[in-house]
Amino acid sequence: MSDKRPTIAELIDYEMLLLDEETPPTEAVLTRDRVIREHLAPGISQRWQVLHAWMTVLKQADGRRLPGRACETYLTYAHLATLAAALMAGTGVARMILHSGTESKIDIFHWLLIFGLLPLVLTVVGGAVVLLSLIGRSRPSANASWQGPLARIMGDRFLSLLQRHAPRALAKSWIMTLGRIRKLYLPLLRAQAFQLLQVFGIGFYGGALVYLLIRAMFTYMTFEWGTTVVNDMGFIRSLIHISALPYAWLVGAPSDNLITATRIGALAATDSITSGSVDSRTWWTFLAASLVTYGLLPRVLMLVAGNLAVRHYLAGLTFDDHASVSLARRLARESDGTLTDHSVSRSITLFWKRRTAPVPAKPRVPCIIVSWRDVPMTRDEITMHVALPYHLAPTSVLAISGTATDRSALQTALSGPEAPQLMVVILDHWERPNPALSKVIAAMRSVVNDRLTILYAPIVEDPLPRLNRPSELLPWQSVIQQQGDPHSGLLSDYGGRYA
Amino acid sequence: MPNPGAPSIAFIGQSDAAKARFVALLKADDSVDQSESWPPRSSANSHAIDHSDHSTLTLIDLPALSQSPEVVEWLNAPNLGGLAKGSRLSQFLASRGASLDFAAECGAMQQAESATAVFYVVDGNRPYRKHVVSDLQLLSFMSRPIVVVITYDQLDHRAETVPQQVSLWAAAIADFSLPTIKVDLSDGRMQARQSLLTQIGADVPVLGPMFTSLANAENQRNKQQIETAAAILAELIHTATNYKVTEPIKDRDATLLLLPGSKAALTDRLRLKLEADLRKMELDAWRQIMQVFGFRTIAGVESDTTPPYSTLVSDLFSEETWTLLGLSATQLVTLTAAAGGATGAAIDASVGGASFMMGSVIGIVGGAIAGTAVALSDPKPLGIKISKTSSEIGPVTHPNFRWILLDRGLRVVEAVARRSHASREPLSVATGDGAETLADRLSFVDRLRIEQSWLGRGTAAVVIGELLREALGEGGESGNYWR
Repeated sequence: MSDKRPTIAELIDYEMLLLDEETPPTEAVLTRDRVIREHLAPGISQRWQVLHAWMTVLKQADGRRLPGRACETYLTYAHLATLAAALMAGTGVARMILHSGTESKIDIFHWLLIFGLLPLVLTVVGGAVVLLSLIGRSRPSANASWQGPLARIMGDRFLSLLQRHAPRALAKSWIMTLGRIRKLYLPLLRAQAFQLLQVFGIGFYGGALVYLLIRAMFTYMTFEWGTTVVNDMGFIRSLIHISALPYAWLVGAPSDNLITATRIGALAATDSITSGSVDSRTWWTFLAASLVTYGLLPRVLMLVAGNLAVRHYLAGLTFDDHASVSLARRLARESDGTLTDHSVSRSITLFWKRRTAPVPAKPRVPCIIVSWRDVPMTRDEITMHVALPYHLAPTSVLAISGTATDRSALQTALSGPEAPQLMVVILDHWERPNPALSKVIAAMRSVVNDRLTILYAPIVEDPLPRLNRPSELLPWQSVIQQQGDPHSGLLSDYGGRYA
Repeated sequence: MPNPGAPSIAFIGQSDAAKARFVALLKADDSVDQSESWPPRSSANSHAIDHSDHSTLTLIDLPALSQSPEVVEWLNAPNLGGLAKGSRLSQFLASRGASLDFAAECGAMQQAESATAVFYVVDGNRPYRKHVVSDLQLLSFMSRPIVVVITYDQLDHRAETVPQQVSLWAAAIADFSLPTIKVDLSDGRMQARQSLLTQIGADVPVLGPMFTSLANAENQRNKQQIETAAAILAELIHTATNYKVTEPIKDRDATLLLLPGSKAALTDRLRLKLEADLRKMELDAWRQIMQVFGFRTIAGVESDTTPPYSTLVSDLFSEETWTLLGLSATQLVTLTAAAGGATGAAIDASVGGASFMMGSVIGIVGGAIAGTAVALSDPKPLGIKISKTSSEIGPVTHPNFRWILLDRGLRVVEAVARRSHASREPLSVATGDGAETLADRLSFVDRLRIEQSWLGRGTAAVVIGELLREALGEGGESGNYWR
């Protein structure tokens, strides 16, 4: 286990644990987190380190088996199964091509088409897709329009179908975790699919290569080529020489004589594979090298690149979704808890040993506060009920009613270089996210980024305005759950006065 | 969609502003979907009120207006300054109607423009908020007559602040000079509904004839509802007090019955079946009564599982029921003695007094003795009768059984008839300690009339109907429920 960078197994375990967390956190959960917080090592600063510590303690305290490791194992099995299937497919295709020529002669162009041109095209198309997705990532608003096939397969419709029709054995928690993973770690899913494809490619071309080598070693192969469309030998020779450029230094390019002599018809006229200075068998090195150069090698390189990209992605995860941030904030506050749970206590002792220094108080988080419609809260009340208890530092407080003018004002407020990554929406407790509010949020995210955190703070007049208590927020909890936006949540869960 | 030319009302307002509840109240039908749902609805729900003259009033519950400030901003844009309000709205619908941006607003306004009148509904239980002004400004661009309906619920947990909040809403809306109706959604009395229909008819001239007619028809409908409920109760009592359970006995079973204890087991089994059947019979009757009054979705009575109505009242055969409901042993003895005396008096009268009132005396004494014997007997059903071919149990002959059925039935009718169709609370039927007993509710003469009416279903229905009309107030008058 690493507390610097999560592994995929840890990520899955973390999501499963997070899903089991009660929202809003119960007193028992808050006590537990206070206890964990007490024992955090002083050097811990990164969010993942805190979350990793929390996860480790919980795993040890509960002693429950989480599915992360198993998922990783199954992924390895999937790679192996794919490799085996690809090996068989590659061998089969190679066998088919190496037996498809006329009069036991092997058609070179068939081989080049399947094992040279096709992988080359696939590599170019794949590169373009990766490039496009990189461009898309730099423009948040474009993300929605550019989602790969995997994203579509695992899209909302699939999840809702799953929720409606999945057997009971497929627990709700799994479906929800899948939904969260899709929204938060889509590049990781894409990378997994990408790697699986590369493994298939390696197996496929590897199988073909092995079959070619075996044939070359144990049988007597003759080669030929032919085309109806092109009659210009110069063009064909140039084509073959250009395609052989990357590996000509190693195995040499087919000679002009060989190319001319192995054209269908020409070979028949001589009726000998070794007539004159031409030996058609030398084609096999050219074919093997083209397969390695255009099929096998790019896949190996892409697999390595994919692995590096996954590592880089995992290292760069910020865990800025609402649930993670709320949990991290609960774990990062000044200590005031007492140890009550024996199992937790024992685990902490085991895990943390002598590292018991408290972490410093958490800093105030810059945010923008939106007072939705005419919520009767003054600035002082906002400071008292919202900013102070939740350790927020509002950069601006704007009254928004949903007009286009309001949205422009809000976008201007957020457009500076130091734009806050958090927006708190104060609204009446009977309000729900609606098209007008969605427009405001979409406008904000287009300015900041699509991971801008939105926290709702429903209020009630009792008789003076106050924030709803967690017990009054059940309808809102349900709405947040239905929304399925990992970057939105309730302020009360954010680790403030109730934490 | 309403028929062109047929009257229709479009209900418009913020999300969860009690529009559907108001529609349910107007339609007197709780099957109107009143649930709070998210994400908000994007299409209209239509409901029809069929009038006795074969005309139909369509109530269109439109999606919420969540973007009215932005729409008003668009409509008030300087570049449209020269246009009339109607033209600006048409331009907005033409230019933005096809986009998804304002789909709900455009759809709602288009449908509202084709309605006879528009009812803008606000929830008076909520504190007043200024954004209602945007909605009303938007509606001012429409050509239809607008009525503001301030709904409130006196049963809400914040009921003490409701009058003040309703006043605030009314004061703010007064600036727009629109007719305003205040509606208590928790008031399900027949009289309240009639008043509401009459008020709408008076406040909205374009709907006047329709609603005046509906208000008049309401009176007749209430009478019919009461008569039907009385008939259902009378039928229930008659059927239940004569109901038996019979099972055929096969040769092999007849032999088995000779074994010790087997007869007792058979008796228990048949008794349980008899009781279950009677419970179901009673529940079915209640369901029918609820449907008569326009209630189809009351929680706790839609299931066939036993005992679903325990959420309303205790079980029909529980000790609590037999202790608290119906008549006491003394009342039963008095009643049977009086009934016997009345019969004897009739005989005395028929012989011209030649019997020296002996008929009355014998009737009173005989009735009292018989009443005492039965009233003090076990309320269990009659014992099992086993013949060679069948076994039979029942009916329940205890004189209090029919009174218990009547007592429970009257309580259910009372609760249902007073219930609002906009109510979200579970149906409550008072039967426990502190609730009025049947004897408190009915005078001795009424009890005697009912006792004598058991002889015929039709007679019983008439007497029960009279009692219900008197209790609920014919035509909707309320308050003096039971004497």
